[in-house]
Amino acid sequence: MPVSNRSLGRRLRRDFRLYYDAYLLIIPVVLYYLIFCYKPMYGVIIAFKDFSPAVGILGSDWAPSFGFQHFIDFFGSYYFWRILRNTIVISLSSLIFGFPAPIILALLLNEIKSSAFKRITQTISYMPHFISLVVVCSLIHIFTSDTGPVTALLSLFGMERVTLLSRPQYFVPVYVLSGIWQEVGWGAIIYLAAMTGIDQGLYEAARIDGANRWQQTVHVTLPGILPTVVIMLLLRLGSIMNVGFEKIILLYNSGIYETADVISTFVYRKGLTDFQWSYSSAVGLFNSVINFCLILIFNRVSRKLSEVSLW
Amino acid sequence: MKTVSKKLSLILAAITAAGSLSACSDSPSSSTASEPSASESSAASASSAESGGEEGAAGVTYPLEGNPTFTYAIGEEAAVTVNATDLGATPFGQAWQEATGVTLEVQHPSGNDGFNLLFASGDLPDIINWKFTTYSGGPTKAIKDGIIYPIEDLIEENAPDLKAVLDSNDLYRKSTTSVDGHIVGFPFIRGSEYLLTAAGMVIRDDWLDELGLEKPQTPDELYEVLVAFRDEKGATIPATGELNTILGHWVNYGMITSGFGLVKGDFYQVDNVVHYGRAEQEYKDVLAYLNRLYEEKLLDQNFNTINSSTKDSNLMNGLSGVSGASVGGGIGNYLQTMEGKDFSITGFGPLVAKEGDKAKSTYYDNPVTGHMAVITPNCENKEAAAQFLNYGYTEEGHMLFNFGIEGESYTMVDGVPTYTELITHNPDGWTMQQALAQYTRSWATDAFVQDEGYMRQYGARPQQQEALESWTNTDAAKYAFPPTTIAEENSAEYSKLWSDLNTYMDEMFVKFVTGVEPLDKFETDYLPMLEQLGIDRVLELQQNALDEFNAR
Repeated sequence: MPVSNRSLGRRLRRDFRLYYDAYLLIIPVVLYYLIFCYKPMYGVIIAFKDFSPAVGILGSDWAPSFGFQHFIDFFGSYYFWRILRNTIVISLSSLIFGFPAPIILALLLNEIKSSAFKRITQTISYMPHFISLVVVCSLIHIFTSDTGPVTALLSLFGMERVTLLSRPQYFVPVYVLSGIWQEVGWGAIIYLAAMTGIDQGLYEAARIDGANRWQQTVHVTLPGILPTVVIMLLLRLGSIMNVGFEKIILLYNSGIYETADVISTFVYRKGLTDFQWSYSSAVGLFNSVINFCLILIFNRVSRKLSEVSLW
Repeated sequence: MKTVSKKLSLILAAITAAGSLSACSDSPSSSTASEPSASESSAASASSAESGGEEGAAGVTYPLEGNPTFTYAIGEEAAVTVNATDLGATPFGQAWQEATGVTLEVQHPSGNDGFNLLFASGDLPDIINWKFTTYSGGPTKAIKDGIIYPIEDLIEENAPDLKAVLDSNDLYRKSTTSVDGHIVGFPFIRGSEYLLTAAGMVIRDDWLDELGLEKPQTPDELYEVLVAFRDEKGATIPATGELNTILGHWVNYGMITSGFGLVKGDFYQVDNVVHYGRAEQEYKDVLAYLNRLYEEKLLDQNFNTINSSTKDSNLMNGLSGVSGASVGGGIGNYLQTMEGKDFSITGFGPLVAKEGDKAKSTYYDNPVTGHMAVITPNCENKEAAAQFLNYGYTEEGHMLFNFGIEGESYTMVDGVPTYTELITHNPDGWTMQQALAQYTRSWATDAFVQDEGYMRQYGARPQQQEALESWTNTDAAKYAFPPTTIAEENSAEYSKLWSDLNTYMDEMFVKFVTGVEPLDKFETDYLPMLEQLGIDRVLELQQNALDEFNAR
């Protein structure tokens, strides 16, 4: 790097002269982030204030305890551990069961010889992705009610016939499995695309060496899509604390808060139905900070282990 | 790769810096926006004195001069928007605007969330029509927060008809006054005792007649009726209802609680001492009863997951024979939808412990419900807004709001305003509620005094009359809790305590009823947890609020 002794400004100017067209191209994106992501961000300071709409964000008084009163209240709240636990349980189980599912589906689809059958299967499997979440949740409600088909099916295996969504212990399975059902086909598309990029010569070589289908999958296909898998995993980890909040709102009820209430639904209830703007901002900010720390950690781990990282 | 990421981080850094700059430059406008209210109000009172001189004390002349335009926010009402884009586009809205000489731009925020977003945005419309007792800290705090512009300076000159109404009744005046003595706005007032009970327990009376059963009065009788419905009428869900019916109506309003010696699940007062039903020992018996109904599949197994439209269809499809519903939107709609079919439904009184007892509570509204139209500090022409909202309390306005347009939606029959066929048997097949929603405000909560004549006709079917009669014979007025306001300095504490408590109690209600938690935990876990979450403090604050209300 021969430029290390020059000042930043000079380097920027030179760079701009050389690549002004590239800078022009990026302007809309930069503006987008400035206007829609960074400008609203100053509003998080209401988490440290007692926000009152009359005096606005900057005019509101600071909260007691050097502005941290809402955080103290939250950490001391009766519900703190419960919603933290639920958030982690729901997002981890979505990750553990939901993340491999599209990879497995993609591997299975890849093995299908008949292309017509493959196309039909794929289309059917990604269809649910296009159904509105509200409709999907109504379907889930109907299917898992005490007279619904899912409950009827499970009762064949000796389970009691109750409305699944009225029992705390069934919420997470219903949430995760319905999530897989809805997104598995759509998620598989990117892996199928990655598989088409694998050199056919590798398969040929493997076959000549006597590898069977299973060995080809394990030793050729999987390593071939591994970079895609890691990037997808990293992106996914970054939002690990952001569980599908709309879906939970649509599915839960006060009887199953014990397992279904997560940080984002708590924020929603406090902020939008109980008018505690500052308190709910504090809780939301806490959620974001955890998210940010997680992505830093995972990114570092991934760079160490596989040399693939987001930055 | 490396250089790219360096450039990127440079740009990001620049963006961050710029972002924080733009944030700072943005601030003064938002903090000054609400300040000039003091100077504005003095200007306002000066100009109102002028206009008052011209009009004299006789009242406001309609239509208003100068065709003022107002932005007007009122909660979404399905019965309105199903047949019109918004309230202003209905025949009522047109007539209202024409009569007052005002142009309205109506917005319909949806639910409390919608209003919350509206308040937090700071971009307030000129007039807001909402249940302001829902606001954290009540109307008093909303005035402090700059959402409501109080009208005590305006009322004398610009809203004489409202003033006459408030002066006529002490409870009306108290309920419209804030803790610190401001007059908040233009309240919705139920003008007669007859209008205070609009919902209650409902039952398929045709099934009762077939089976030769009487209407149930006690919990045990209701149990027997439900068993009979299940066994003899094939009702797979003998008693149906969503959480709001079972918890909100049956328990919190007290439709079944008198059967167990509990007034109701919600706040009530006995000789001006505040109680909260779901923290009383008797509540356990209510839970035990509901749990028994649930275990024996007499109570809807899905009560905490369904919504009210499932309840409606369960009742109309003959799956269920008992629920809770209102006289118009419930019984009226069911009967109208099922007209000509083998179907009848009516009300029965709240459950009592012994036959012949009088129930302590049931669905019972305060005459002033807390819904009110208020003028916001954003409104530029507050006098005209006050004059406009005053219209609902004038004689003409009273007729328009309650009965609609003469010759179209009502005619005078022997001096009594009577709804026409357009309302009662709408040619477009609208339900009576939908027709009323297009031509009147009688069915809704708006800035006017509701007239008994509306309910007499809306609930004109014999089953509805029967329901109203059985629902109203209670001691509810004795225990009713007025629309109090928690003192401002305690309102944040109260809402924090209350929202945790409420979450816990709702959750435990469902768990006790469904049997997820055994009932012996009522004493060992439930009551101690209420203590821990601060129920005593909540009661103390409500007691202060009640004392303050009584002293107004």
